Amino acid sequence: MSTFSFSNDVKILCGDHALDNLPYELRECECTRPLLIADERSYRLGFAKEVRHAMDNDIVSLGATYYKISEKVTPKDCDDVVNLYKAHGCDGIIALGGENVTQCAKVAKLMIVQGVGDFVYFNHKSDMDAEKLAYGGLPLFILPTDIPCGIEATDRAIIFDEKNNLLYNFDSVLTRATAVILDVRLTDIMPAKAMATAGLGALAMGVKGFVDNTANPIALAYATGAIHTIVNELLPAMRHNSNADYRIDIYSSIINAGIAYYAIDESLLRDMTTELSIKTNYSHLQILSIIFPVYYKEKANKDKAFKSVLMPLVGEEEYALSNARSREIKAVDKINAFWKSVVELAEIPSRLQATGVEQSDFVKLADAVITRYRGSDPHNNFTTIVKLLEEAF
Amino acid sequence: MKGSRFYYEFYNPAKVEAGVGCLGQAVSKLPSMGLHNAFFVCDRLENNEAAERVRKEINATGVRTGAIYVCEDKIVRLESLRDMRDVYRANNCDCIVACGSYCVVNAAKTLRMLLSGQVVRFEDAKGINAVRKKTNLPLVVVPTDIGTSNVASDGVTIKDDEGAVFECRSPLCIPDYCILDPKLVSVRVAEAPIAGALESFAKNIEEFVSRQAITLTKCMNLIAIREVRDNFMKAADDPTDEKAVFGLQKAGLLAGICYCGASAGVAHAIASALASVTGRERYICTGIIFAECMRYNLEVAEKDYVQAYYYIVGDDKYAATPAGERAEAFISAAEAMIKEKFGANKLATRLTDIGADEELLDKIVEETMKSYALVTNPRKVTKEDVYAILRSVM
Repeated sequence: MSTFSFSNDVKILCGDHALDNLPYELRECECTRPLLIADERSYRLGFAKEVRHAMDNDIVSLGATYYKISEKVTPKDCDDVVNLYKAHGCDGIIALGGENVTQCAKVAKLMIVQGVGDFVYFNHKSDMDAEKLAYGGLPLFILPTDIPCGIEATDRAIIFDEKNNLLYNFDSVLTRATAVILDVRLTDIMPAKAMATAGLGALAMGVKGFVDNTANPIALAYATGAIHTIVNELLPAMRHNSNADYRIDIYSSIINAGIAYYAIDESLLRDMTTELSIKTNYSHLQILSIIFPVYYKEKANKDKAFKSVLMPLVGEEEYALSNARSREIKAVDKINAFWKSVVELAEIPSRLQATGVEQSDFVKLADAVITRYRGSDPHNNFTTIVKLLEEAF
Repeated sequence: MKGSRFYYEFYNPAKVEAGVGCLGQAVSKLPSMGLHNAFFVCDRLENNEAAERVRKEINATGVRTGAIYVCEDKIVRLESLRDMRDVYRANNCDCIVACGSYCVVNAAKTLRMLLSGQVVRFEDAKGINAVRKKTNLPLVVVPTDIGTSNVASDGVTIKDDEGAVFECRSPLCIPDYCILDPKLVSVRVAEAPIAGALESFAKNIEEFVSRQAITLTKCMNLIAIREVRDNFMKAADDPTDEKAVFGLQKAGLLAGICYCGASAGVAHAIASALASVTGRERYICTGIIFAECMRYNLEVAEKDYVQAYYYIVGDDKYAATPAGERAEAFISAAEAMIKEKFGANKLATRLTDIGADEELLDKIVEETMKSYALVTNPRKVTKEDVYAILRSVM
């Protein structure tokens, strides 16, 4: 009989006027001088202004603002945010923007809470996975203005130092947000291509979160909900990309899929995605959207949990009428058919080749993945990785 | 095309560690949570092996037991809460550990809310989010019964000095840490699995059809309904079946988590009022009125019932039932499941069995209409509706 543990106290505020609750949430955390950090896009599109308007200036006012987070977040961005936070006596962080701002804010929070003044500290430290409950810790509010990346409501953060070719993979409750706020006013019409890529990436996270969390009913529910929403709403969201309701539904399902996906301790898929992402400069979700049909084709025959993933893909009616012996095959067929229809509609890359990876890179990539992988599944070996890369190529 | 925008919040701060024999591993994390001197609440001391074991395991991690408080209130009384506060303070405790039944968990949750909000007049906590957090006070909950639907929820009920029952809803009621180990469950009476399963099951269904249900809470409740289906009969037949007990505990846990967002409905409201007026256990009251309440909501919850039907009967029966009959079949299947075990254990099935006659109806209806659970019921509930539901099970 399996045991499980689950911890996720990130509050999700989603939908119309969600932003209006930010001052209340800040007051609840006794945060009166938050630092607002954003990327240039969010500033340019007027989202920073929306946040300023929403603030209750009588009690809560912005301690400082910083709108220069790099497109690819760097250690220097984290240092700059920490320094600004300290210089202005701030007592919380509001992160407004895309994946870069989210990653930066999470790491900056960890640095402030741990008293780290310079990112260099992490060069040779193992503190990155420090596990302690931060009672009354620094309030961090994440307000995605771009398609979420899935780590918003998790304990994860990744910073890649391009200059020194070093990857920092944080897994700590100290990177955890107080709340994620999804408000339609902070989102813009998203091109169908971007929505398709992120939606498929989230489906990959949801399916992985589903099959690897069968013993954990809470994570399983996050995965189930995400799969159900993506399968039913991604295509309409792409076709009607000015419809904010579809957009918000897809965004929230990406966040939920991320919660299920990152509840898994070890994952070859995640390690492969990380290495490919570094190699190609494609985002985590973009890589997932390309490699996951191949990955699941390989895994479905070996994993009994794949039978049940058919349920959120097709619903009760079709599931009940399907042949119980071949549900895993049907699940893979459904995933592939859905993937194909999304890829064709959005005309997004469907092979690794399109990302600039070359076959000659596979050995080095597989080597890096196997070095990173800490799981114990003997099937997850060098040969399997090379085979998966070749099939996805 | 979609068009109706809406807003929702979802929040549950409880960290969960669950599984057969997980206690040792779970308590080893307590010192890192800042626990030093625990106020230990349990429901009795004599022959309470579970409480003794939990206390010893906790002490072995270096966390002291500053005070032990035995709470035997069915619904925690203000008087007991004042006692608990005084003992807590006198012994310089810095955290609360609740180890026991549904009632003990409720008492500890209420105390945590009051102390962390530094509430002076406890009556002021009445209502939704009436208490603001002023200090951190870790709360760890280790249930020792199957009814775990209150473990991770944000709701508590309190009995005031005049004997009236009132509800409080606050995130401060949600524990920081829930430890679910079926090895700690001591089944003293044969009806315990029925009680636990029924409380969870009723909440699961009401939360599933709630006005405030979102995709995530719906998924949680469907998973929970499946757990009840797979384990209810097994646990009722053999209460020592740890796997079945764990399944029911998980269903209860999910019900509690969803209660914070989706809340419950008319059955919860009536059952609470019935329990308060008659002094009988709430699960008995739930068992009597639940099927009628499901029927009452049928016209607005039909689609949801059809979906939930699959989770209660599985592939073959679902496929064999004509689509137009599945909602009714769902109610019948749920009712049959409850009645079979209620009948076998000679539990009450009519209002008159628990002493609730026509004369008490006004009082029960009055109490019911005060409940916050009515707000989230999918159908707008009137006084006349409640009278009709009650009279149909008289």
